[in-house]
Amino acid sequence: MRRAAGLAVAAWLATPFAMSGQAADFRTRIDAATLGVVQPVLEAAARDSLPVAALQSKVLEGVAKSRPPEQIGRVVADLAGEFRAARAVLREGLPDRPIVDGEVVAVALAMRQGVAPEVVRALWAARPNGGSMEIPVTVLSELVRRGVPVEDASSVVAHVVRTSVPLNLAAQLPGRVDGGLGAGTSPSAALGEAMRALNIPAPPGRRPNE
Amino acid sequence: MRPAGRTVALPLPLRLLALALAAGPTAAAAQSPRVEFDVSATRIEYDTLAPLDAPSLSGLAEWQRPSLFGRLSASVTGFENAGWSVQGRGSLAGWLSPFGMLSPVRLELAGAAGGARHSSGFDSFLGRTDVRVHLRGRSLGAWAGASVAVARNSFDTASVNGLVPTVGAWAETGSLRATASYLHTRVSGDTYPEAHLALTFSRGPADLAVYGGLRRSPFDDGDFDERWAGASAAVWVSRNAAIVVAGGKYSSDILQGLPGGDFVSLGLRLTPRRARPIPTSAAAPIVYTPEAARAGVGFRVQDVSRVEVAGDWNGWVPEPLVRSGGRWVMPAPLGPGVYRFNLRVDGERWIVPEEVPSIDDGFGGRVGLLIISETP
Repeated sequence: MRRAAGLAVAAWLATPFAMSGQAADFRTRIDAATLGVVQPVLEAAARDSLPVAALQSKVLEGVAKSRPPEQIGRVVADLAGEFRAARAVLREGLPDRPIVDGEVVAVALAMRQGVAPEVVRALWAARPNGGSMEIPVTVLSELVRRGVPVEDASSVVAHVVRTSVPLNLAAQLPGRVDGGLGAGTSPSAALGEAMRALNIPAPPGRRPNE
Repeated sequence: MRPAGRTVALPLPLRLLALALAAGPTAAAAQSPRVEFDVSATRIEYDTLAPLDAPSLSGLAEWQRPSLFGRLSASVTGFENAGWSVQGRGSLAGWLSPFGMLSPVRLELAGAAGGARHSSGFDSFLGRTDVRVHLRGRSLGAWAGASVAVARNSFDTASVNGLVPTVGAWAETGSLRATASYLHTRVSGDTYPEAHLALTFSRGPADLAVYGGLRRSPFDDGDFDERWAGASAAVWVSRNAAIVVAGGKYSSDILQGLPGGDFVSLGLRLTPRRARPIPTSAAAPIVYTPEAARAGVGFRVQDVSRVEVAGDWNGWVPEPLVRSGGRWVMPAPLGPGVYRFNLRVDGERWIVPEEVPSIDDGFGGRVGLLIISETP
């Protein structure tokens, strides 16, 4: 098993970035010391079906920013731990649904903001089809980061998902909330204003001026 | 033709600042609905009359949706030993997006009607329709258009028609908003070039506004050129009440034949909840549709000679951005997704552009988030 995971990581390390116009080879981009620190983390991540590309990207970010290998290793290990927790939340609550890497990353960031596992599962349960939840969960994180109570933000985002509000509209909510906050409005009231401004219907039970 | 305003004895100077600031289009997003009642004591001085004390009661209601904006205002004023007056005004503006919601171009169709009546029997009426084309950015905007107005007062048997071509611009940073406009009013064959400037600012419990303007008369002697300026401050003592202090000079109304005057007022404003402007330039996850992303994702970075971008999509290999106007534009489009990225400026500093949200990068810095939405 361990050998198979090692082979998978080795194959992955040798694979150029499909997304990159630069076609940079990961292994040629990092020094031996950094590779030595991060390789065990990446092997474990591959074994656990975590978003390896996102971890790889974090390694390259550290390299690009000239961070020491030990720090890169620590940051990537922490991030892998967050991914592992996020994936477990999705796997436990939704065992039959395929899990997309971008969703795991978004859920990890949301949980970093204090979003509880049951809130994440409720959000997944709200989606009427198999569309990606990466952007809705990111919107949820951004709302919570702006001080909107998790219950309020999650009920609004769940309603957005349930009623198939276009994502390009929903993704404007945090910015509109910023506007209200800049004017001194409370986060929840600012969210209400943002929804009205974007013509997004409020979820049932949410008072208009909350 | 001499300005008709000089022939009118009793003007109706209520909600002075609100009317002055309403001279521009309804471009400012504000919390909605907005309902306010003002009780105020005003001292007014006209060229032709001794100063008057004028207690008044006025109300304002605004309602806004993404493509509609409505406003109603009304007031009752008593003049010291000079009777009383009532006035009302309503306006409705509709916004169209002929090139789609993501285009900065908006078409505004608007109309307004108002009237006033004094206890002596004097009355006046104004109706106006407006067509404007707006270019709206995140923190800057401009418009051009024209208004057609019809006015009448009981001193004249014939109505007055006016054509008012207008251009203007606004800029916004935080809660500070500046609006400048130019009106080229034509009434009965005479032209009155006119410029306005208004600033509004909100911080903590205070809402501040300053306005000013000047108008050239069509007469060579310059006797009827006008300059005016004023300011108001509303200090909120609670969520529902504010003390409002205002003073300055306001302009005459050429179309309705109402003179300008100097004023100072002190009042109490009551509202179900305080309403303040919502800045449009607030930081936000930059949301691009794939189409917009193909057209070029760009960032505003000033006073640098070289900008590169590195992020999830390019393996953190810095790629040079291309300077285009005041922005630095990415060379390749991105597909839908949420991306983390930084800009490197002048080959050394890693930054997140101001308009982009950021999160802790784990390395002691920040990393920006970029959202490319799916096609709606």
